[in-house]
Amino acid sequence: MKIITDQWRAVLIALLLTACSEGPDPKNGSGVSLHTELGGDATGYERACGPRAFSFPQDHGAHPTFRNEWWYVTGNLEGAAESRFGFHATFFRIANKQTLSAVAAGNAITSQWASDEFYMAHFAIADAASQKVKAHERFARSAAGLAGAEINTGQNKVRVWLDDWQLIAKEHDDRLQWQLQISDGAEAIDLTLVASKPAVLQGKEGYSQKSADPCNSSFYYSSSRLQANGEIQSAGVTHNVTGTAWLDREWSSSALADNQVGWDWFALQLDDGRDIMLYQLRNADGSIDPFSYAVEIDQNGNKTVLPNAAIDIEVDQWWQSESGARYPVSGEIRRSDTNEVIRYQPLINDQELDLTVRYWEGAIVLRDAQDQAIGRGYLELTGY
Amino acid sequence: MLIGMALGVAVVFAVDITNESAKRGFSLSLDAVTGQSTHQMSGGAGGLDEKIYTRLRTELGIRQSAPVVDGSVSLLSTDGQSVETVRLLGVDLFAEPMFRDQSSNTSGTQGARSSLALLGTGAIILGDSTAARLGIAIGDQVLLADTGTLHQLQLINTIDTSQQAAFDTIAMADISTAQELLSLQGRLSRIDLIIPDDQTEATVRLLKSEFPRVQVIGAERSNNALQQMTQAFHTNLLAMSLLALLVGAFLIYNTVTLSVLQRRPLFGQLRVSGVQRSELFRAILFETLVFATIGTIAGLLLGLLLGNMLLTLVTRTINDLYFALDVRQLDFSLFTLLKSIGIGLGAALLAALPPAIEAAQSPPVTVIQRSSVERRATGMVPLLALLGVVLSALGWFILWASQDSLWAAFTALFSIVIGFSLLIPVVLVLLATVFGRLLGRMPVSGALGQYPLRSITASLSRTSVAIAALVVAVSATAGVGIMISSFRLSVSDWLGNTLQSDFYVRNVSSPGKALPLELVEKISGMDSFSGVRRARSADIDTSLTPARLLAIQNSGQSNPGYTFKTAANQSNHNDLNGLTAEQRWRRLQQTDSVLISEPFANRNGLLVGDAFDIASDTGTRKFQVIGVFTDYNAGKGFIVVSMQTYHRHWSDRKIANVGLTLADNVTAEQALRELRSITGEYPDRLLIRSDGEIRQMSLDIFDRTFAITHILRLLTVGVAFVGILSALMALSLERRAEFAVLRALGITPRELRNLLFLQTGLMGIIAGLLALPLGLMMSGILVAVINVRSFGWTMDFYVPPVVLLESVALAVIAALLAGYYPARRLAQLSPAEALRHE
Repeated sequence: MKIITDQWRAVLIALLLTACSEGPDPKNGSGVSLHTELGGDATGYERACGPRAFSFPQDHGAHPTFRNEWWYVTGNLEGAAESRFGFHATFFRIANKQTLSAVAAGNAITSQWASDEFYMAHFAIADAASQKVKAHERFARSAAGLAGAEINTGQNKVRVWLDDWQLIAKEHDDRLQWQLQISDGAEAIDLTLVASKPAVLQGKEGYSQKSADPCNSSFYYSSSRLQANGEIQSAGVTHNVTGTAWLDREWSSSALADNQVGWDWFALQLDDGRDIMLYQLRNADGSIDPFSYAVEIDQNGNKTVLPNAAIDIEVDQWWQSESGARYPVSGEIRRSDTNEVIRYQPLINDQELDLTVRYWEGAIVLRDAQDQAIGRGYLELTGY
Repeated sequence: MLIGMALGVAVVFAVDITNESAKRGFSLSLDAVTGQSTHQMSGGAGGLDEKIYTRLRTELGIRQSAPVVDGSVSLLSTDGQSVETVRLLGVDLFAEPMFRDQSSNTSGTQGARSSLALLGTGAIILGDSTAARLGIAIGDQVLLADTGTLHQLQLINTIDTSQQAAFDTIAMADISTAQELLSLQGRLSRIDLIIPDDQTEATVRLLKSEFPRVQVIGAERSNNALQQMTQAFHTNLLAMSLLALLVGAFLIYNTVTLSVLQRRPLFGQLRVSGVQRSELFRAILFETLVFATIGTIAGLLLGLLLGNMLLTLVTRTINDLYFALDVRQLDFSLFTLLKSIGIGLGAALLAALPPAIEAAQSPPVTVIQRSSVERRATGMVPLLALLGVVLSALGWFILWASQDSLWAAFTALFSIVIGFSLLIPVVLVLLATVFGRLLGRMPVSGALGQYPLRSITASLSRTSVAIAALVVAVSATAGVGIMISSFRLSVSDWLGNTLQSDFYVRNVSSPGKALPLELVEKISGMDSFSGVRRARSADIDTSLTPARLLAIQNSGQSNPGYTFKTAANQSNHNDLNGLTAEQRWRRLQQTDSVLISEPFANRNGLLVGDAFDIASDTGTRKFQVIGVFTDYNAGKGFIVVSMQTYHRHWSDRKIANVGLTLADNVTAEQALRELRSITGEYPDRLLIRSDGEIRQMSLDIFDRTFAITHILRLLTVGVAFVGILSALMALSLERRAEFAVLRALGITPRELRNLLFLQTGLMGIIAGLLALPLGLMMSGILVAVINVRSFGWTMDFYVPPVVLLESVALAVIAALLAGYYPARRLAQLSPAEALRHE
């Protein structure tokens, strides 16, 4: 009866909280931590050890033989009266195989709830007017219809969802189009994202090596420029918006080496039509890992991988959050091959997302050496 | 004086803190979620379709929702020797944060990192005490006691039961695990919801239109109903403690008065030697206060000890009768503490006030004389008697005038008890006169024959108080004893009537799990049985108090076994009056009509002929009450429908249990053997119980329920015993000189001892006899008024002669025992020594 319901619930919640506050990586501090999910033991999972053939729309869907996977959408939006927003919406798929004996040894489990993976989704809106970022998080098992990624090949459609949050990919007039629909509390987003360039396979034909071990890698492709159109709701107020968005798709079973503590990831969309993506993997000793990566995508979607030596980043502002973490939120990216200088500044300093995994994910404004606006982008800072 | 005070305070304090702890435990566990969860969705016997939850989440955006699969499983210890049955809660770890209460972040979990493992099928969490009893550690396999299934579980974590006591009987697992273990694939037991206040109406309407066959119940309502059910139980306990208090107050009054009166000569001398009245008055009160404080503190400590013992009994009773509740810790508020202290000190000071005033105001010479007090006391007798009559009358009036207030009933009861005890002095005087005359006519008795009787009335101020205390205590014992006997007899009769079948078979693999239909058919076809009663029960949603629907079908010579009391079955609908059992039965099968249990009828003010709404699978329907049957189940009310009616309105076709009537020429052993060979073919755990076993189990529960009452009765008598002892001690001390004179006149120590024994015995007999009418009155009120008002049960009044004899014997023995020590001391008195002080 009721009585007990209540006692166990308190315990269960406490249990979940401890799960989320303990872990091998105190900085990221969580049961779902950067290291356990992106590094660590990949036994029992398929690993990315070399290039593979991509095939769509299947590869827009899930790859359950890998440990984790994400659908990562970020973008800059503009409404009437110069209102500006950054948004970030990610669906993470996280395997949770438990080394437990089957509940019905020899018998098939027939419960629809049995599942060895779950989804975590993050949704954040940064509002330039209020100088605030609002973040929401959800979890659900990929079972009983609560979360998952399903492919409807007949309709050339892929649907990724968690509760009533969803991201749907479909071909439209031969162009890939994504529909993003999320609503939580006073924040909501409903955007149509139309790809203006073909998807780019990152690294070597989509095989993105992250450390010396060839199997510490991921499969990675990006849709670097999506024309966004739709509605956004911030603090309860709805705005019609347009803008550009970026979608990253990545799956792997182990991507970080033991000495790698985090990364700085830039997605830059320049007004001249070029997109630049670069990430720097940081080692525990403070050095930049040689497996860091940079790529330039031209107006037509052709990619050029840039040598690490050509990229130099100088931080000019660190911002410290209430949690005590310090993030390099502003600085200058210099390319030695072209002598191009891109200065980046956050739309809002405080774009730290204090979720189960704590990280800084924020909209940035790009300027040239003469302080002229030259584009927009997104910056992700993890492991601080 | 100290012992008396301490006992009085202890009983009141113990019962108070027990009650409070049980209630606190209850509301604490409620608050952990019900502060949060506002509504529940549930769906009758088979639970809910799990897809409803998916729709809530993915389509309706109702995220503050959590699915629960609820059942029980039996776990086997590693040595295979013992079995623990625990309640299994299947949960979705990810749905729970919605129910997070900021204040409830304390838990006693160990091995924290592994909690995501709770999502794994096969993972289970147990209380550490349960795990220890089963002999399993974290990481070990957990074995299910059910044979025939191959389920394997792993203990992934334990909960510290010293912090979370309820986990002694709870296991937690993922929904998938619970569905597998309980064979509830595709189903949920319920969905807990949090609906914000301002959206309640719209959301409930939405849910009802989206899922018309699902019940949406406000959590508060179901909790309130539960709380109300136990409320009556707590009130009864409180009443018992007040009774103890009454006796305790007599005791405190008695002891304080005596301690003051005893030293009247001293006070007189003090006054003579120039001590001011006000000084004396203050000194007496101060002294009383000091003693009362010590006594009260001792009482509180004693009460704590006692409370621990009572708590076990109270929680067990609540567990037996209502729901699983586990409170291991005594818990009390400052208020309770202050209340007990106030009662202790207050009673002492009030008792000390009149003698203090009197001692202070009287002229020094009369203060020295003890007789003046007795003269005043005797003068008070008619006044007290008048007050007694008035109070008693008031009590009966309240009883008659109050409709169904439990508190009014208790007030009336106490008023009658106090009124009665106020009549005791006048009765004593009358008795003494009558007996005195009788004895006077007897040649053998002589002067000494009248002595014991006369000395009782001569020191009326204390004997009457002592006797009154004993009368109240003994009458309470008798009253409650008669009530319990009546109750037990009624329950026993009821069980006899209700358990019409010889054997009952049900599936205990998991709750809500039905018997395989094929098995039911097989059993029904057995020649060994002449009658089969099929039943199915489900918790249902009515607009009334919580109820359980019972659908039954009788075939062959099986008898439905319901007792209908005429009083409860009088109706304004003439066609329903005087129905024969057969007519009633036919009506039940053919129309939308129900039989309801008496407590359910009483709680909801339903009469035969009334109709009320029940949410069925075909929508909300009106059902007419055609009979109210006797039922002594605490907790939920029962609504009985025929299986035909059930099938008309509900889609569920399962049978939960069958009752079997033996054919004429078949022995029970033979039938049981045949039955076992059939049930053995099924993997489910099928339980076969005979009517005798069920009857015995029920009566065991009954006896356990009243264990606490027995203890309180004994305590009350204990308090009264100490009262008598102290009164007699004081008396004997005071009358040292008197007895010394008797001794000097030639009475032997032996004769004197017998004399004193006679006197105390007489007091005991008088108290015992006086307790009888009061006890009968009390039991009458308990049976006819208080039980009906608190539980909705009516019962036959039954006075076992042995209880009456016991009461008188108890009074006499208590008095004699209390008189033994003072009598011995007095008998050994040296007359010369004692007289020298005069």
